[in-house]
This record gives sequence, C-alpha cells and structure tokens, in this order.
Amino acid sequence: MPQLPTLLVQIGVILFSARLVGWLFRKVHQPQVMGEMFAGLLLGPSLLGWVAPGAYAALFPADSLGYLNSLSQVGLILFMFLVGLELDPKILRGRGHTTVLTSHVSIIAPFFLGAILALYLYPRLSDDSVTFTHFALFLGTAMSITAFPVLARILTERKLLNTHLGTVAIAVAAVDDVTGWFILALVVLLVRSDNTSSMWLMLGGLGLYVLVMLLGVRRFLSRLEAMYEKRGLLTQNLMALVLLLLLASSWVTEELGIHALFGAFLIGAIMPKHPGFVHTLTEKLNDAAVVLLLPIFFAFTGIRTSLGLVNSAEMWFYFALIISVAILGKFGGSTLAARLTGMSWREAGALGTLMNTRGLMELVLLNIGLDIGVISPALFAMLVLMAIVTTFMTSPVLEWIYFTRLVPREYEPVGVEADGSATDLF
Amino acid sequence: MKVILQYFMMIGLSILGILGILQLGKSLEAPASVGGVWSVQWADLAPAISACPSIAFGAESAELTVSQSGKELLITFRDANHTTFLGRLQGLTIEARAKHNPDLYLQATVDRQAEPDQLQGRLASSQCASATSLSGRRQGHLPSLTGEH
Repeated sequence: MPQLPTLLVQIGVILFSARLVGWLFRKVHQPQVMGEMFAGLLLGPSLLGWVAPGAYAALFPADSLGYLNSLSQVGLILFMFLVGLELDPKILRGRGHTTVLTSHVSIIAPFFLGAILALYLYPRLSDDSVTFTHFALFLGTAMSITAFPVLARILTERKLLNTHLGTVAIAVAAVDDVTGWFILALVVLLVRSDNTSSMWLMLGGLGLYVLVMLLGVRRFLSRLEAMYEKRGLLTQNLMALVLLLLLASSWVTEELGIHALFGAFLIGAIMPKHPGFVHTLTEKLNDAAVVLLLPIFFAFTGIRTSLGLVNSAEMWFYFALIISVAILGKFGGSTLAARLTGMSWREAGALGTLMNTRGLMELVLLNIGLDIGVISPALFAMLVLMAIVTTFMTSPVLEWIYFTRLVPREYEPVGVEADGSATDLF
Repeated sequence: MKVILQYFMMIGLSILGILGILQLGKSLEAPASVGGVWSVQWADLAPAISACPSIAFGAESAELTVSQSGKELLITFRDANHTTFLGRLQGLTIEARAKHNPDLYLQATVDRQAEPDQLQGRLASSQCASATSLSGRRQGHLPSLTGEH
C-alpha cells in the first residue's frame, strides 16, 4: 500500500476518534484531553488490534509507523513549546514558602516511594541491560510528574483559577513542571552517556546550552517582543523566526543526547511573557499542535501500549502497587505539605488531587523511557494505565473533596489575573 | 527556623533516603537481557512443515523480535503469519508456546559469552514427531516503534 494514502487515512481515523471520544468524555465532565488519550489507547493493540486484528494491521502496517512517529514528534515539540510559553514566573510572586515547600514535597515524596517500589519491581519487570540506578531514577520521575496544562484546564472549567487554591495549584504545578523536566533531562543524560567522561561532556554541553539560552537568546527574544509591540502584530517573518529558534533549540538538545523536547520546553519557558505576544503565538500554533498533531501522539502511544502484556494476576498486582504508590506519593505528599504550610485539610486535599493529575505529560515521559530502553513494554503499559486512571479520577475526586459549589462563599479571589493563554491548551 | 526545619525534614531526609535506596539496589539482580531483534536460521524444516501445517515459515531464515518484561517474553517471528510465542526466561533458557497454537513450542538457550549473543534451540510441536533445530544471533537491543519491540 502506498505510504501517503495510508498516512492520510491514519490521520483521518485518529482525528475522528479523538474528537468523538473527547466529546463523549466531556459529557461525563472529563477534560477533552482525557478522551483523546483514551481514544489513542482504543486504536492500539489493546482494543482495535484485539477485536479486529485484520483491520488494525491494514490501518497501521508496521512500515508506516515511522511516518506517524515523526509527525507525533513534531506535534510534541510544538506542544512542549506551548507548555513552556504558558509558564509565567509572575505566578510565583508572593507565594514563596507555600509554593516551594509544597512543590518540592510533591516531587520528592512520590519520587522516594517510586524508588522504594523500584527495589521490588526491578528484578521482576526489568533486565540486566538496565542498571538499578537508571531504573529507580526513571520510575521515581514517572511517579512525580504533574500535567500542568490539564491541571490549568480543570481549574478553569471548575472556575477555581482565581481562588486561593487555584493560584497555589498553578504555581506549584509550574515549579513541578520545570523541576520534573530538569530531573528527566538528567536521567536521560545518565542513561545515554556510555561512561563517566561522556556524561561530564554531556553535562557540560547542557550547562553551556542553558547559559546561552538564559543570557543570550533570551535578550534576543525580548527584541522580538519589542518588534511585535511596535508593529502590533506577529508578522509571518517574525513567526518563521520564532519557529526557527524553536527548531534550533530542539535540535541542540537532541544532539546533546538529552531529547528534542527539552529544547522546545526551555525556549518556550524563556520567551517574553507579554500577554498579547503569548496569546498571538499560542493562537497561531495551538490548533495545529493540539487539534491535529497531539492526537497522533496519543494514537502512537496507544499503538505502543499492549495491555495484553498485563496478562496475569502477578502483573495486575504489580499494576495495583504502581497505582497505589503513585497516588499515595503525589496526593499524600502534596496534601501533607500543603496542610503544613497552613492550608485547611479540604484545600490541602484538593491541591493533592490536582497535583495527582499526570495526563499527557506522563505519556511524553513514558515514551522517552521506552525509547531509551529504561522501561520494559509491560511496565510501559502499566504506567500508561496509571496515567489515565490518575487523570480520570481528578474531576470526580475534586468534586467529592472540595465541594466546588461552596468555593465562591468560602474563598475570596486573590486578585491574580486569569491568563487566558494558560487555559488554551486543553 | 520552623520553615528550614520543615524543609529539612521533608526534603533533606527524603533525598538521603533515595541515596540509600540507590545504594541498596545495586546488589539486586535483574533477569538476563534477551530482548531485541534476533536473526535465526533453522534446519530440517521441511518434515516439520509437512507434519505440522500450522507452521508456516517459508524461508530457512528469519528475524524474530523478543519483547522482554522481566522474565516474561513475547517472541514474534517475522514470517507471513507473524507467529507469536508467549514464554518465560529461566536463567538463560527460553521456554515459549505459540499464542494461537499451544502445541507448538520453542525452547532455546542463550549464550551471552559469544559476541554478539548467540541462541541455540529447537522448534517443535507436541503433535509432531519431528523438531526443527534453530540457531540465531542477536542483531540489536534497540526498541522498535511499537511497544512489542
């Protein structure tokens, strides 16, 4: 079968399924992205390949997956740029102690429990081509991640963005995001470096790259923003320049051995945060990245996820352990830390629930883990399932813990502007 | 002071704990790695085919991919039928049965001293008298685009 017609049919089926399942999920008060993630899983061997193996083989022949993967990677680069773009350091102002402690605990607690779990899972779900250190660090990171874009979307939908809880949650998730990706960059670097000298070389390269981005490229980007303000619009040339910088940054981090996505995230994070500039840039890229390309990533993840590998009581027991540790670490850790910093139990519990949302950021991380061979296919399937379950549970648990209808009476808005651009991603 | 103490109790101790776990885990042993792509050849296939029509390997060599999750293995031959075996690794011995035809089984031992890793074994059916000996060499560890390697 020729490749282009196959690819076009694949994209059509993926897009249709994503919109349809997303719409169904919205009907049960779940974010659109949740449905899209689930649609991806349905298109893989776990459902379509199981129910209709002939149709699955015809729709996704093995030799066509390379094209699909390339498209999904481009989509992820654009998406990670947008995630970085919506991170605004202003949201941290005035919330130092609560944010820093809660954020760091919400990372370290699941990381710690993930490392303990690694002691049990390493001899059972890994092999000796992976060292325990790499396995434990990756599993810890996988337990710690929070989906900043999904969290922002849930807060908006629940009209919580301007409440005390909403502003703290956004700030904590922002710190989590940056810290989580930094830890993952280090883990990837450790796994990919063959020996100590190459590791130091890669670390040196990473340090130099970050310095150049913060001290040099950032200034240049400010000039772009000034040009935008002067003209009042984002011209096609300006847009092309931003895209070129995005591609260059992604290329550098990929060549450094980390991953292209880190470069995309970092350049987004250091972009000037003038609301008009951010909004215009987001508007121009959002539909292509979120509507068209991200569902391809979800479908590709679904194709890589074989729930058939979780095929025994033993395997389901491992999955139960994983999900228990993930929830205990993230929800428990965040709740406890928020309570210690003075929040009420209800608010602290709601914050813990929100931080437990892993969403597509977890899927991004897991695909990187599978690519670098640090997790096995069965563990990948279990962690994908864990990401879906923890994201799915957020809305109903939040409803149960927080009683959203009481929010306007109990908590006064703290005066932080709801940044529309932050909520455009899902 | 209270803040510093809280931070140390919750963050500092956890970091120390993680370092301890990493040290403790170094003594753990995971199953031998056999995952990846293997190039295999076999002999005496013709009698096996005539006796067991369910075996549909046309050529005398093929690639097989081994997807490994701990001791659990999913082995897929790149033949016309993508014949798949489910099995387990015991030490360096692979024991697997065909997913859709449990009479068909694969038994092989991996030699990891060789460079690249080698595999020796047999493919047989409990319904047939004959068995096919097979040998193979590992081509790579890299995961493929699908989760099944």
